[in-house]
Amino acid sequence: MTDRFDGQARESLEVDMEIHGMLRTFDPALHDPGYWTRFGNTVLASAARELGRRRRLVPMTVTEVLMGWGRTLVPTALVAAALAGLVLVNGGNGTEPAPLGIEEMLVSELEGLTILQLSLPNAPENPLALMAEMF
Amino acid sequence: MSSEQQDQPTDRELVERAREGDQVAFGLLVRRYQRPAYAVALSVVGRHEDAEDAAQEAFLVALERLEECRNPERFGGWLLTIVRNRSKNLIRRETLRETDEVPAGTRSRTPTPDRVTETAELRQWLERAMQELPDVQREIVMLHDLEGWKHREIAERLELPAGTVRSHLHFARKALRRTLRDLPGGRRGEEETQ
Repeated sequence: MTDRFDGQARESLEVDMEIHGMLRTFDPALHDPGYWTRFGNTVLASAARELGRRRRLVPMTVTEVLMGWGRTLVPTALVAAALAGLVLVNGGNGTEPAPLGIEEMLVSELEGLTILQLSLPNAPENPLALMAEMF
Repeated sequence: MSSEQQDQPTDRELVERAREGDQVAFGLLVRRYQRPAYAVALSVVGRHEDAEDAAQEAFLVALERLEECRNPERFGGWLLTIVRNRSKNLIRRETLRETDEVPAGTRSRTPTPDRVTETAELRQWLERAMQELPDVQREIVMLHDLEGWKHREIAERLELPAGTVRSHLHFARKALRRTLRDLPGGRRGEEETQ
């Protein structure tokens, strides 16, 4: 029994090249060298959905969440700051509109004299006009 | 594990990364086990197309059930169990479908169309010889003499004692050599050089 066992052990230590040569006929890559690459790619293509699902399920730590926000917020803040800078720089070169007083806005499109003008000491002597304006 | 694989990530590392959806890690597992998975499937179903389907399906089932792999360092053995079960299910389904049309035992004897006629003929002889072997012997001789797995690896992954693996290998080889002697024209080992 021991002799038989040792014999089997010795015999089976290495690959039997004669048997290997025969069994190679079962290897699909024997006449199609790209077979195993295609096999792997097919499996990976079919597994893409499940792998994606697993990626989405990975629990995130507080630090990872903050880092995730940071990745979005920092570029946005930089862009906003750059735009604000551009607006400020361009705004300094333009001609500013002349300020308009409230009084001028009130009388700018009125016809005839205003009450203010009529009440002045050098206003035209026309009490009727003043009365008409007041009542 | 072969010496080439010692520099590569372990199965445990790859399984843990694949659980988080790492495509590269899963791709490495597929490349590492695609040949043994196919060999085991072929030893059960006996037909190329079925073996290919069963092996590919087994990888997808394994990915979906990765959490059930309690010993990720033994991913290989766990995967081969899935391959074996998928292959047996495939045979069961096809047998049910073909029971009334094809005489029993002839389904898996149909050789895959090969480009080389001699290879096809040798393959046909081999398929017959392989079908005569018990399932476990077919698997062991494919993993050892085709895929080059060591006894220790086979024993670990099939969960068999190493002595049993050696014994099965011995009897499987003996049966296959007998087939070679019976080959017409004595074309022994012609495929070896290809």
